[in-house]
Amino acid sequence: MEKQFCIELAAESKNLMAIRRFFLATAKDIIPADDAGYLEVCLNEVCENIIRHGYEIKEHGKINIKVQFGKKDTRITVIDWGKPFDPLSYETMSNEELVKKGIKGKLGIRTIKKICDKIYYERLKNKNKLVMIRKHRKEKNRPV
Amino acid sequence: MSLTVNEKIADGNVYILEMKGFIDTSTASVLEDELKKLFLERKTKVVIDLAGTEFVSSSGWGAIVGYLKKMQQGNGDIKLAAMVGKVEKVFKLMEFDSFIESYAAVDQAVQSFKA
Repeated sequence: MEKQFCIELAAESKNLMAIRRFFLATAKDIIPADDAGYLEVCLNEVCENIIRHGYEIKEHGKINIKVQFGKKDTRITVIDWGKPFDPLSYETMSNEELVKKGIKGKLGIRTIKKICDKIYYERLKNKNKLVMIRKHRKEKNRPV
Repeated sequence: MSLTVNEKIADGNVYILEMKGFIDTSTASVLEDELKKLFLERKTKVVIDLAGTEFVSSSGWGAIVGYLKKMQQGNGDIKLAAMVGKVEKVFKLMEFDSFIESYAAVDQAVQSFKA
């Protein structure tokens, strides 16, 4: 049976820790700690992007998060009302390029792509909707 | 708790940054400012002690990557030590271990500069 949890918070960096704690609390005893840790990173990355790029600096919008633990996967849906922002359209770089150029950004999207099995982005009227899905791994400590 | 940094010096002019808290977009500038300060002072042999760091986002990794080459070009390096399990898993998943050295203990990371 699917378990579902929701939270809506102001899109402010000071709320990132609350978002991470919300996710870890919902995931506890439902999915393995390793998976929870990976998805915590993904959720944080998406929210960081919304806070930094989705809303204008002085505009304090909201972030709505829905977490669904299904039989086969975990699904995280993140909605914001900021400017259109499709993180999947952003070019990712290899580690070699990042080090060579000394670039400190562009790691978040790569992290999400590496951890999630499926990612969907949709622009719906005045909001962005991003869905991240990670299938349950059979063995608890199976390497990704 | 957000992020605090305690700077120490070890043998061989190796500088240890003991980080406590979490590194995300709200705190990454603390680490970045420390790395910048060390770099400008030509203190390029750096060990980041992550034993007390419970979370590192791409903002934190980015701060390290951003200064890695600069420190190496200054005859130094940035090495990581004592990562907690969940931070280390992401570090390895992202294959940062292919270009950033990491050690189980701070002493080992310090010693590696002498090798």
